[in-house]
Amino acid sequence: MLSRVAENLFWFGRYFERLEHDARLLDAARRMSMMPVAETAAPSNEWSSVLVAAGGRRTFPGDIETAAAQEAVNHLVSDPSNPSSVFSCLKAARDNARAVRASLTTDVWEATNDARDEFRAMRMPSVNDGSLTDFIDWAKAKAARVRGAVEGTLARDDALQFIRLGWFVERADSTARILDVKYHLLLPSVREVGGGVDHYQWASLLQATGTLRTFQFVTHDHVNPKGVAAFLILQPKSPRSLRYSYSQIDAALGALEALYGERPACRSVVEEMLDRLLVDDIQIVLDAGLHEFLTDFISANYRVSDAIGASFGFGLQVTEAEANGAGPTKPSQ
Amino acid sequence: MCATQRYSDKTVLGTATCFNEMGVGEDIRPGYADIADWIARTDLADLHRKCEEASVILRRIGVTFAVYGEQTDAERLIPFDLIPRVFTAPEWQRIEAGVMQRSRALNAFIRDVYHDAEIVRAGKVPDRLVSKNDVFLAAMKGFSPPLDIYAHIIGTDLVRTGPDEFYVLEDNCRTPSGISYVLENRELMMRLFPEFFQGGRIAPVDGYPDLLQLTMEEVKPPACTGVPTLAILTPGPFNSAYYEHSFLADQMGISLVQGDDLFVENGKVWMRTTRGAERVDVIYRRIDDDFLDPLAFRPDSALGVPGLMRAYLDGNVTLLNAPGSGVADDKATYCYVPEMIRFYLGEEPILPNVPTYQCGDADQYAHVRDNLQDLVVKEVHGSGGYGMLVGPKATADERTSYLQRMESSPGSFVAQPTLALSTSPTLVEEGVAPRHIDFRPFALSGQTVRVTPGGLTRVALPEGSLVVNSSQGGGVKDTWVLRY
Repeated sequence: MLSRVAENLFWFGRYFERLEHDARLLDAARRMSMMPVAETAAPSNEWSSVLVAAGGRRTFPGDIETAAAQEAVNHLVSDPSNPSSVFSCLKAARDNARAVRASLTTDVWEATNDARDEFRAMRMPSVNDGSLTDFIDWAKAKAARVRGAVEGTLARDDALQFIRLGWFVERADSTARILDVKYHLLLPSVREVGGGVDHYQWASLLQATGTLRTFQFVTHDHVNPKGVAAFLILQPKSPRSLRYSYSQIDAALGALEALYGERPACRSVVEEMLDRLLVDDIQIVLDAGLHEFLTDFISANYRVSDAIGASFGFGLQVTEAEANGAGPTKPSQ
Repeated sequence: MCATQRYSDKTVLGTATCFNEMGVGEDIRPGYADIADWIARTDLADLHRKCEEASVILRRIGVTFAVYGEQTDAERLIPFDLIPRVFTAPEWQRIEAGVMQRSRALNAFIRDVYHDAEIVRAGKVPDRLVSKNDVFLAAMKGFSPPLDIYAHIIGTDLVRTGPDEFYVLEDNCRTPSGISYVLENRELMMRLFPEFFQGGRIAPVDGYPDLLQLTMEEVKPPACTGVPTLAILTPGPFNSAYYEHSFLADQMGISLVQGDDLFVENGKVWMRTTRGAERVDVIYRRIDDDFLDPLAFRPDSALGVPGLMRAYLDGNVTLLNAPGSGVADDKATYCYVPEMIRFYLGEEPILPNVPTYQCGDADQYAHVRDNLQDLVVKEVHGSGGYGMLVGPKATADERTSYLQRMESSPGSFVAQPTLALSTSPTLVEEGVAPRHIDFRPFALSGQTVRVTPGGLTRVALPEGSLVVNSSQGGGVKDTWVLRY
């Protein structure tokens, strides 16, 4: 497979995963904005939290701490200047897919192309009516359709593995970010202060990763800060934990190793990451400093992404301006 | 000059003087009976609904093209007209023989101009159009590509003015596009109207990718002894014909590469893959000569592959079409194709040219100047319908300013009489109305010349318009070649 094609597939995977993450963040914020706020706690702005978790510190044009609900929604949904907005993710995912059409099945292409077309025809969601919920459902359904088409129709070959690598590198990043935005809630010093208000806060973390029910199903526990941290970082059964994401990255690289008959150099870096996540007790992570752990993880995850690129020869893209220089003599032959 | 023509109660206006491919009134031409009947018995609303259905399908598949200079919507759908254009078996036999003959002559011509230029020495073609031509590639002198084929893929643009009157409008010997529409249009028609295709009377077109693959394999370079690795070289997703590039690569199951995916080492061409470098033997390049190799041509090209031309001339890779093939297809060389057919093949042209005035010739230029209102003037190196003057449709001011452009370099222009292009019934807002059409069949040259039975019928959608180019509001139709 061409290195460029592998790179496009990797980013195709990443952008669809990011789109789904946007939708879940919006869902969590929407719920939280309807929950009671602890009287003793400083009033928290859920909308600014999700903006931060989605990387909005670099992209949000106004004061992120006082972002209004509709501003946050617009920034995460339709803002073309935000490279992580649903709009931008759809465009980037489709551009990547279009560049490698021949490596995708019709099902995958149509799922991608339909999502983009439907989005274009859609009225943008408002926080004041049901349209935000409808939009969130729509985005999750589209991400699920693409994932289903990828898993259900692509050949069990390298293309599939590069998409999976994209998904799980992005997922690890998303989970680490949302945790880092809310890490203070999970620190042992935080005690529940009446009325179960903090319960909502902890639950919102699970909601933002779409795993509230899964948490209860897997742990048979009540939502509690330590449990949530353990579930999102170390729990191998959690579909969005750092540990599970890395086991999937490792599996995809293992599949490529089997296909190519050669061990990709980046696999060692991934194994180091997995080792880091093979901790028995979350208390060890918490004692060492959750915030430090997460910031460290996010940078290490970046390095993994780079190492994957280096192993498979990523890093070559022709810019639009250059491509448009083609064919001045007989452009329409 | 316009009069109402009636196919049915849905009819609008047409140009009564133009040849109508389907026939008029009760007088339906051979091969069109089913279509005329279908139009007559189908509600206009149903036709529009089917048309809408077709657009939805095309957009879903992503059959789009980019228009140069349009910033708003990078991809547009080429308008698809439901009503097919039909050739009977005898009509097709003549077209097929004509384009095969032309392909052979054009390849012989390109070979000749890069070797001994006998046709120039015989005084049949002026040297200013050969070695003095801007697109003449000195590097190709003395080089012989495999099988002596240069223009492996040629799209010949034909127009029709009467039952037996076909004319060649131009030859496209560089990177002709449109074949993906031919195949997709047929898929669409078979999906929307399966009843027309029962019984196998309509010749299938889906063999094209196989024939292209076969052609590519047949012209593998001398250095390749086994099964050649094939690739299509595209400028990338922002190019107007990108869909076609990816479509063909997909159909043939070969790699679609961009310049950066390839590199030359030890005189050989390699692809960068996830498993390291892989050798490439035959490249169907959809990048213009100028951009092919920054070491040999434009040094600023980011689309090409440094060293590709050297590897080609060393016989380590084959390029389709050969660099320098453009010497055979500009609008001035075009006038001499009938001479080429006589000179190289000793035959008479099966398909005639449109009479053409060379503005580079003082007498002919004088005639063009005096009769501008009756002529179509084109730039020798222009294409896509850009920069042309349709005399009868232009205002006096437009003609004057066009003359000023010609004055500085008359040799860059040719002129032709305005042809009464044939019309085909076409679905428009108000009903089914005649619209002007042309036709581009595709000839593949390898060990032999192969022509897929069908081609691209383009239709000028605005009433009375003669410009069929997709960049100028043209649409496309499925083209049926009847086997009996």
